This record gives sequence, C-alpha cells and structure tokens, in this order.
Amino acid sequence: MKTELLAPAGDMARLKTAIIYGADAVYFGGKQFSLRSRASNFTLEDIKEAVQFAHGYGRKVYVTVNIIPHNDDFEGLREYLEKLQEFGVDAIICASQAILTLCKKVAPKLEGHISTQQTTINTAAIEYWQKKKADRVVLGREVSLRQLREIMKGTDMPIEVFIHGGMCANYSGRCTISNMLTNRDANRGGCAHSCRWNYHLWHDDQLLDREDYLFSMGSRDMCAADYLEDLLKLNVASLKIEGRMKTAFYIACVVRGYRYLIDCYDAQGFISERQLEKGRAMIMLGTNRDVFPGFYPGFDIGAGQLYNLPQTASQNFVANVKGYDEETRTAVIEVRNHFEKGDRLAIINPGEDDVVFTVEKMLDLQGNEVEIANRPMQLLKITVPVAVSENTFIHLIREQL
Amino acid sequence: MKTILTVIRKQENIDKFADSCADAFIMADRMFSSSYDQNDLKECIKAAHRLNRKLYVRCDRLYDQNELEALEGFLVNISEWGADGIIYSDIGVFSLLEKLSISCKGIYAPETLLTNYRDIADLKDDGVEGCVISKDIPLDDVIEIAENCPEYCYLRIHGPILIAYSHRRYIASYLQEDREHAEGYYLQEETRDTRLPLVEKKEGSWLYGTVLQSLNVIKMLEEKPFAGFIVDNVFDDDEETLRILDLYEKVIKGTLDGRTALNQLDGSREYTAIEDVRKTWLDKEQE
Repeated sequence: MKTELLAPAGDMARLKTAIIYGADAVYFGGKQFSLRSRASNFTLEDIKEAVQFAHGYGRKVYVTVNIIPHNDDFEGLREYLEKLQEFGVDAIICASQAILTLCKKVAPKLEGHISTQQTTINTAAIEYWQKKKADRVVLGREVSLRQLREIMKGTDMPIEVFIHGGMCANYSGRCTISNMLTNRDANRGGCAHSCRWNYHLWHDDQLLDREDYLFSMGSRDMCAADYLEDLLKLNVASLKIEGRMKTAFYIACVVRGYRYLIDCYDAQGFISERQLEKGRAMIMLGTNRDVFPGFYPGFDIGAGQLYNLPQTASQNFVANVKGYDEETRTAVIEVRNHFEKGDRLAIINPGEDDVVFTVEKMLDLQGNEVEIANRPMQLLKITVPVAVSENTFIHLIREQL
Repeated sequence: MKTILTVIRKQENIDKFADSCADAFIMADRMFSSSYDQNDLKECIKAAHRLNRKLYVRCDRLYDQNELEALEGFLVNISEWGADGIIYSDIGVFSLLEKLSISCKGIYAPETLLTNYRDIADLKDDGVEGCVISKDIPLDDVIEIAENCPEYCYLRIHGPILIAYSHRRYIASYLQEDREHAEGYYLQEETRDTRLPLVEKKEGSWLYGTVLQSLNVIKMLEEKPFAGFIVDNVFDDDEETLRILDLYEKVIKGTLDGRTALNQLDGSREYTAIEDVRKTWLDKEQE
C-alpha cells in the first residue's frame, strides 16, 4: 500500500492548489457537523464539485464530520451522509460513535475515519474502533516514533498520522479551556485557542512569572520532515497536513515539499540528506510559525512549547498569477506583499524546481512603470523567465544578511 | 437515594466514610491514575468491602502503547483483588476488559466526549457498562441523555471541573525544572482574576476550572433516571468530602434546603452551579 499525502482545503481554490501541488487526498468540512467553523467550509454544491475535480485527478476526498455532537446536533445528519455518498466522497472523518454507526448504516460506501479528536494512542483503543467497523484511525499527535512502531506491529488497521501544522497543546478533544473562558465550544468548531493566551503562574500565593515572558500553553507547529523516511518505512496509510485555515501559498509550499520527499523515497527507498534539505526548504517557505518535529523524537520537556516570543510574519509570498501571454512571456500578477524593482523573485510551479529571476520592469495595466509593488491586490505586468499559470505562486528571495 | 460514588484520597481515611451516604468509593493507583500503590489498593478494596461499600478504581489517563502490558497486569490484579468497578477515560481500557474477560463493572468517563445520548446508546450497544456524562453541557441536555439511556449514566454532581489534559509538562517546561509531581500551582489568564489549578505529574498536566456543585437541583436530579452520582475531589482533604457528602444527603432527604447548603460550601473556592452550565457557542459571531 502506497502511503498517501493528505492535505487540508479551506475552500475550492485551496483544494485545487493541494491537488495540483501533489496531494493524494484532501479533506475539508461542510457547513455543518465540522470543526474549524471559521474555515470557509464547503456547501453541498461545493462538495460535489470538489469530488469531481479531485476524482478527475485520481485523488480522494474526505469530509470532516468531526464535531463532538450535542443532542440537537444530529438533525439533518442522515440526509447529509446520504448526499456525501451520492456525490462520491471517499470517506468521512468523525469523532462520534453514533455518527460512525449511522454512516455505516445509511452511507456504507463512505469509509469512516476516526478523528484525532478521539485521541487514539494505543492498539487497545484502535481495537475498539476496528470492532465498530472504522476503516482508518487518525492517531493522536502524542505518539512518539517508538510508540508508533509498536502500534504498527500490533494492528492491521490503516493508520493516519500528522506530519505538519498546528498542534493542540492538550490532548485533542480533551480540552475545554475555550468553553470556560469564552463559551466557544472547542469540540464543536468554536475553539478560541485560549491555550495560546498569556497566563500568570502562581504557586500558592507566590507569583512565578519569568521576567522575559509570561506562561503559555501554546505549542510550536509541527514539521516532521526529518521523520518522514521513518514514517514511510512504517507504511502508515496516510500522512496528514493540518491547516484548513491556512492560505493557498502555505498549502502549495507544504504539499510540494512533502510530495517531493515522498517521491524521492518512492523512487530510491530512502531520502538523502541533500533531498531532505531541499524538501525542508520548500516546506518552510510557506510556514511562518516556529516548528518542532512534534513528539516523534519523544517527550523532551519544553520541546514544543511556544512562549511570548515574537513570530516572524512571513511576507515571502508576494504575488499570484492572474494571466500569462506566452508570446511576450508577460505575466499579469496580483500583488499580495511588498516587493520592488530589482528584487529577486522565485516562481513556484507544481512539480518543478523554483525559477529565480530579477524584477527588471513592472507596469500597471495602464502601462505606467511601477517601482514598488506595495498595493495589495494591484494588478501588474512583469516579464517572467518560464511559463506560469493561475496555479503559480511568486515569492521573494530574502537576501541573507 | 441514588447510588453515590465518592472519591477518597487517602487510604487511612476509608473508615471515616463508614457513616457517609456514599455507596461506593473511588480510588486510584499511582501508576495508572494518581494516588495509590497497587498493594495499598488491595488493602483499600478490603477496607471498602468491610464497610459494605463498593470500590471503584479510577484509571483516568490516556495510555501510551508501552504502558499497555503493565495496564493489563494491573487490571487483572485489581479484578482478582475484588474491585467492583473501573472508571476509565481511555476507550482502550474497555477493549482490555473484554479481552481479559474481567467481570468488574467498567464505566467510561472521558470527561469531554459524552455530550449526547446517541453516542452513549452506541457505547451501551458496544457493551460498555456505564458512562459518565460530560460536565460541559447544559443541564437540560444532561437530563435528556439520562432519560434516553435510563439507569445507565452517571452524573458528576460535585467536584473540580477538568478543563484540559495534556501529555506536556507545562510547569517543568516554563520553570525549566524537572519534577515528578507538582501541586499547588495555578494559572491566571492575564486579564482575569480567576485562578485555575494546574497539576503536573510525569505523565502530563491537568488544568482545572471552577468547582461544579449541584446543591440547588439535587432533589430534582434525584428523580431522574441516572444510574448514580459522583462526588469528585482532587485538591481537598477527605474531611471536606465527608462534609460535602453530608450536605448532599441532607438536601436530598429534605432536612436542609439547597440555598442553606450552598452557604456552607468552602468560601475560598469558586463554584459553578450545574444548572448554570451554558450552551456553548460555535463561533465568535454568536458572542
């Protein structure tokens, strides 16, 4: 079985980006029954279109139905599952026994994947879900590589693991800080990320705040590129990227990087140091939070914690491509971040190495020359060294000081 | 009165509960939950049975793969010692109880996950012998669950509300000091006054909110088809638990009204009445 690269899709554009940049499967939520309520979740019509698009490329579509439901959250669920099956969705990702059972009853062609919200971290728990006819289990992020090896030896259940993206500070599904502090339901799509807030730490009546920063439960994001070869050797069913709220640029960079590394492994049975370095650089281009390899190396105290440190906002992504004239090699680009004439930019195309060029000349659509591109969404014309398309992203090469 | 299960923190205090209204005692093993060594636990089971009370062992952690073998041995031991039940939060424990053909009653208590009657009915069909309803849902929802799964669900009526459980060791990480066990710590969100108790052990961290109490509505709840009530205790000494049990007994029997009982709660704690647990919002727009 070939290990799948599974990418998030916050909307149709990001779904297309994920697929074009090399995801084997995509996941997203519908308007109901899904976490990440602030992601631009898909309508039923969108889901139908998404399936057609993904299946056209031979890729799979999973729909998250992963709320921890309350009594009144089941209304319309049966019809919804029937529709998903009718549209050809490949699986639902769920965290509720009753949703899985109903799915198996009314939409048996849909696979049922058990969400990480259930925090399944051992084979005994996997066995429970196997008896309930689940088709796959998404493990909790708290599983180390060593534990994962033992889990893989002890089960024939297809296993999905996270490789990249945001981390819950607490066991997923077992945290209601957001509920208590904001009344927004962490387990029904309303998480306010209260774990990332600043807190004073007391011991009895003694304040223990450090001088440099306050306490926080916030976590660094995961980037498990260094463990990818190990995970591929273990033959896990799926490698999951987190980030339904993230941008298309993030999706393109991260999917392309992991795709490259997986393809290297598939071709030669290993990932060389040089390939790893290249893949990691591709991935990190789209990532603007501090990262660590998750808990694959084990639980080093403090390894994943993120305190009140300034985050470097990534402004690498500077433009989308809106049009291209092959004859004149002129691209119409949409400005997203500041860059200037004379800057070195790189063109990211799916499945290709970056092509670096220097901006010699920029024109607005009226033909006026522009020195600085600093108006978001402004359309400009520039000459590019290779063919580009609407799936191309352009990023700024920052000179090392 | 309904069955009442109460936490006892110290082995030497078991006899003090002889005259309490509790029908069963909940105790925990150090390795698999919090408080006791296995040999102590064996003695606790005997002591509870001497008092004609049941003894439930609390295994309320999530277990890493490398702990399963020891966990199996532990479950076999406590079963042989005559434990009456196990309260667990890892569904893997249910699989182990089945696999090992352990007959003592298993109650699933995952804190946050049991928020509707359909999931609970499903668990019942799976063979799970009892469930503790989540403390995060409004009382109307809780009652609806009990009415749809009669005599099957347990309700936590009193005790600190666990709001986060992590594999991470937050205190050690922040203070850069490795310690086996940390109690007496609190988090205070920088713009608020409430202090949230934070406990850390080598297995992870547990963050608590306010203390749940049900004194105003316990008489009404007594009429509903719950399998039993749970009085939890994480931070107080056992004397305080005895006092709490006494208050509930008096209110249920009608010798004390709920409002008067409320005034007798520990004034240093911040309480949330079970009837005040609100329906949560799904997004910021609803605030």
